[in-house]
Amino acid sequence: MAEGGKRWIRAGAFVRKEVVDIVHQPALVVTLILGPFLVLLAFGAGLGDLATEVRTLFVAPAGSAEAELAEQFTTPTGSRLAVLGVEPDREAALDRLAQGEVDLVVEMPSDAAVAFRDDRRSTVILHHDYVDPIELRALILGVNRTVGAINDQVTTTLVAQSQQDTGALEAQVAQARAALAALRQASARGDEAGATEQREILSGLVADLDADLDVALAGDAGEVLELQAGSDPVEAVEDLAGEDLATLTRSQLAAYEDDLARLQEGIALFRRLSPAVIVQPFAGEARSLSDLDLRLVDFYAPAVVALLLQHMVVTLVALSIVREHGLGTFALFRVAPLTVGELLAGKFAAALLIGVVIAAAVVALLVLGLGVPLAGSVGWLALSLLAVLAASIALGFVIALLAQSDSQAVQSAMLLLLASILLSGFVLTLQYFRPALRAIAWLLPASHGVQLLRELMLRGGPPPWPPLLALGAMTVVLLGAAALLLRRRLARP
Amino acid sequence: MDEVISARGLTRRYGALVAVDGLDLVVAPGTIIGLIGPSGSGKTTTVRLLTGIETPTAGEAVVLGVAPTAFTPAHRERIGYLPQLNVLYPNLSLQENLEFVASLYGLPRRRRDRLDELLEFVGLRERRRTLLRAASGGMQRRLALAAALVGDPELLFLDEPTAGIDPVLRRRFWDHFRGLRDEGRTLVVTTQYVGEAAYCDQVAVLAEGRLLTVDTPDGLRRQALGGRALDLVAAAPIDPGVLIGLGALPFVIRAEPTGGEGRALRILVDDPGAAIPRVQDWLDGRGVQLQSVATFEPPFDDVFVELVERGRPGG
Repeated sequence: MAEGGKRWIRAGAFVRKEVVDIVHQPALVVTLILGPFLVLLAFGAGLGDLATEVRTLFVAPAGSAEAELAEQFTTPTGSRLAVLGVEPDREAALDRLAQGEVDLVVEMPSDAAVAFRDDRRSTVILHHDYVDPIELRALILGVNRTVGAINDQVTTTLVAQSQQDTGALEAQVAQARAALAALRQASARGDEAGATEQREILSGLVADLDADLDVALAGDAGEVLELQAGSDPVEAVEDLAGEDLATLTRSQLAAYEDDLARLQEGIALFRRLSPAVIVQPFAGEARSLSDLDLRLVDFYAPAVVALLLQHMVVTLVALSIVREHGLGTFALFRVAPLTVGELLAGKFAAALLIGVVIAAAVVALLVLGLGVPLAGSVGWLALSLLAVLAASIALGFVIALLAQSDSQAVQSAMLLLLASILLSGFVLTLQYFRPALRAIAWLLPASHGVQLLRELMLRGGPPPWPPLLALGAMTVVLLGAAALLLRRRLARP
Repeated sequence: MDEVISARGLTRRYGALVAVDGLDLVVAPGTIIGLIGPSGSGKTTTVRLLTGIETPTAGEAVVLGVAPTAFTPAHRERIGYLPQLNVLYPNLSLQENLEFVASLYGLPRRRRDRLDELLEFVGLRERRRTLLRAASGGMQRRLALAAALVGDPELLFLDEPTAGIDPVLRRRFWDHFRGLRDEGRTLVVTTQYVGEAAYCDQVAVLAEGRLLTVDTPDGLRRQALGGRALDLVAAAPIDPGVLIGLGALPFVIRAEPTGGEGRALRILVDDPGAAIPRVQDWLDGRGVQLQSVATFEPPFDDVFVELVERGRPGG
């Protein structure tokens, strides 16, 4: 037989041997295929909504305005805060926090009204007992939202009050407009007596209006009012109040009439708008380009697949190599007409075959069993899985050939798993890490796998090329290193 | 090729321990050479040096025309190896293990009828589906032997092939080894059963890493005793003067009484065939009538012990 054919037979010996070895261990097959699926199933079924309730207690003096304000939050608002009630005794509330009966105590300021009148901000203090920095960050966001809601509540009340107050102002503007029109008409008729009478009426109305506008413009509502009506009509009232009405021409009177008309429209608009819109004219809404509506399990499933495949083949390959060493078969290999390349190729192909079968089974179970989306093409997914498996197998070779014992190989594989969980983007996206650590993270096949599989399964479209190329380069480099190490290992008695 | 194996000053050290110390050995093709020695004498290390598993610390070996460390796959195809310890896979059946080794030697699946023959030879055909982990030590040893033979090698290194094998099967193995030898193959066999030296063409005795001697089995006996032994039994007690005279004869190396109420004695000679009639004539001339004359073949255990003791420093 030609040497080429014998090479295939020799490399194929390892494929067959490794597969048969696993087939003769049904428990291992179950663990390899069903294990990852069950882990994910438990993860998917056991993981609740991230927006878990924060049991909240408000502290405010009984019967105070602050207590009244706090009471409004006891109605569910869709936020994470589940307000259990309002407690007048601060120490009792803090005791309940210490006992773990509540998660958050919101201490309202006792002198908010006084501070407001004194042009001071009041502080709402939030007491908590969180140690999880991520949870704490989420809480601070929620707290800011709550304080914002309290501010909005106060502002909305003030705006509503202003809207009521500006009802009289609108009537005053209308009267002033009517007096101006009557004055202009009397002047046009040459009715000097009528004009004088109207000047007196108008003079009084404009003086009152000017004074009332000053008051109205001093508050929060004034800014809105000014925004709605514009600053010119308001200045026009001031100007009109300072004019000698007897010297005004008919065209000047007409111009003032227009100013008052615009002021009246502005006031009317201010009164017509709802206080909520005035206080919060903008609302935010996030929209995804890919129009995704993902569950937590959907988001984590691709990363878990990448992580599990890496861990599985690394462990499989590492143990396989270390076990050969332990059994003493390397001595057999050294005497047999077997090259390092054939040994490595055979082991590689065997692990790849086993990995592909398991990856296919796990992905099928996830997509068909758990309903995890597969937005991309099966072909791209297969290529990406092959790339992850190939790089992981090569890494497994290096780990095994550097290890001196079974336990060392297993410990190394576990260490790699731990690093992958923390650094691969499974828990936190890589953007959170400093550049040096990010560089280390990119040395892990799982990091590229997480990126690839999330992209393919959740977004669809072709896979991003950088991770695919990185995995390919990683495979070549690690296999080269493995070949050198294996040559050295075989040469060593 | 004049010799299949030649070693000159072959040495292997592990730190301060000298496992093989200056071994000189030549093995002609078509012979069975047995490596015999106590535990730790360097038998297995010698085999590992000659198969290229170990690299010599000093000296050199040439096997099939090249240094073992320079073996190519083409050289290795011509070599079969049975390691001292069972090194096959516990989760594979006996047949699957044999198929694996056959594949390592490039044997295509269509030629696997040879595997059936080998399994039949080692008496494992009926148990071929048994997982190795469920097989007895003896079965594992038999399988390892089949694996060593699977590549149909012209040079076989068998490190204790009969360990744990029952005497009947052991005998069958040796018959097979001699059959292979008769086909022109060369076998290097280590064994812990000293009696198996009788099956070898050449026996190398090792102790403490040193090669004490290499000889044929008969040659070893001669070395151990100092000559060939003849046991004589006379009809009546032999006079001590006659015994002294017998020992002084030029073709007699030594004569000593061995009991039998003074009637039995053993003499050492170089050539028993020529010595027996001359001894009978000499004794007849002195009135001593012999009841029996027989050559004495000492057990190899004794031969081995004698040679090893003699080989020790100060022995």
